[in-house]
Amino acid sequence: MIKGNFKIKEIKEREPTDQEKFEQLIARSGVGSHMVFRSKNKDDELFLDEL
Amino acid sequence: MLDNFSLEINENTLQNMKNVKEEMGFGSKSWSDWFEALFGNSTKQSEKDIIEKIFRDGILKVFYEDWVRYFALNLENIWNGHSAKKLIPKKIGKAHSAIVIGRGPSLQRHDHLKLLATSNYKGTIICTDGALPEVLKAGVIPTKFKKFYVVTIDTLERQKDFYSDPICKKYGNYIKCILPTIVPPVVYFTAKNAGMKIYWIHTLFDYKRDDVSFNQIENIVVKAKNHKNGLPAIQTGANVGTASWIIAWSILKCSTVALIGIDHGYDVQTPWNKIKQIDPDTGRIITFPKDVDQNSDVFKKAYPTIYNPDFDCYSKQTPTFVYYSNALKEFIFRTRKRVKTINATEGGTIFGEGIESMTLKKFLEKYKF
Repeated sequence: MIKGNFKIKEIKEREPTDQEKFEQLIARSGVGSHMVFRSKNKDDELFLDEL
Repeated sequence: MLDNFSLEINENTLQNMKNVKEEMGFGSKSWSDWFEALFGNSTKQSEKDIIEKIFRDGILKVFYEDWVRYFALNLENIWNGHSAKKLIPKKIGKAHSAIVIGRGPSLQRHDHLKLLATSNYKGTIICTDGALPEVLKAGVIPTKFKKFYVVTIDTLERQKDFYSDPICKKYGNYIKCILPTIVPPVVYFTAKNAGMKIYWIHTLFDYKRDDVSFNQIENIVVKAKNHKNGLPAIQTGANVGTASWIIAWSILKCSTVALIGIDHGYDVQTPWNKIKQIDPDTGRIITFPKDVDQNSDVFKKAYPTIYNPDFDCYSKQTPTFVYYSNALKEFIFRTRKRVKTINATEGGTIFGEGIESMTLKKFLEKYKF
């Protein structure tokens, strides 16, 4: 077995990034009542003749 | 440094870690940089992806149980009712068009309903539920426009109000109404009581071809009685306008689809505090968040003002309309070889590759059926 030591750096309080601010604003802005459907199979995404 | 922390791993694990670090391009970088990449918060997502994820999570949190409950309550009526598949033309002859009618601000601004009502257009009319009473009152009526459909996608009980207007009862017998299997039953009964013939569709939201999903369970349950081949299932794009556009080419097989009143944006003069949304935590109606710096770059990205070069005008969007328009524009682009999409709103935010813009007057001159 190998023993490793981790030296842990202190994380100073930081300002949220622009991406985080954007996410927070979107999350507070409300939603609709339906959602965009995403699938790994792009052919399934728009229309299925019979489900 | 805060503290020292030690752990024991075997030699093989250490070697595997070194290999993966190397493979990820971190061979010459510190272990700290690699751990940050693996477990840190440095993942950069596109704004479109961020919005889609937040909306998906919020909507499922608010509506998922309602959808399952409504589906259960609708089941007898689905089994004993009509599939939207019946609306697919048996023969697809010469090219024909549809007009999808939303209720965006351009509809009134350009008096489009009056223009359409006095035209001799013989194509298909697909009316979004929210626009229906005004459309009928303006004279765009199914006794004149024989191929007349109305669509509901939103799963809110208040959608019933659009069907309870007395003018809906006057023309209901001539209107074909397309409803999702997860619509609140009160909406179904209100449309049916107005005399409309109901056609059921599935709305896709979690379908996985090889895994368990509610869409898959719905499919199995619906097929258990009468609908052996199931129902058509559509992408909604999260709103009834986009869903109506999908229905136009996928089910009704229209080769050209024009949009009016599908702005996916507000007039620039509309105050933010007049705009209402659904709170993702409580499901209640909320207004614009008050303590937001409207001059910040983040606000301008989330609530952009869009210049439409095709109609030389501006619209402003909430994140909801950014979400809707991103999806609709993407879907139009993806299907541009299959269906011609014409934006005849003369405003709004729907423009770009695959979208032809023209006035409604010009569309009506060019497309008679």
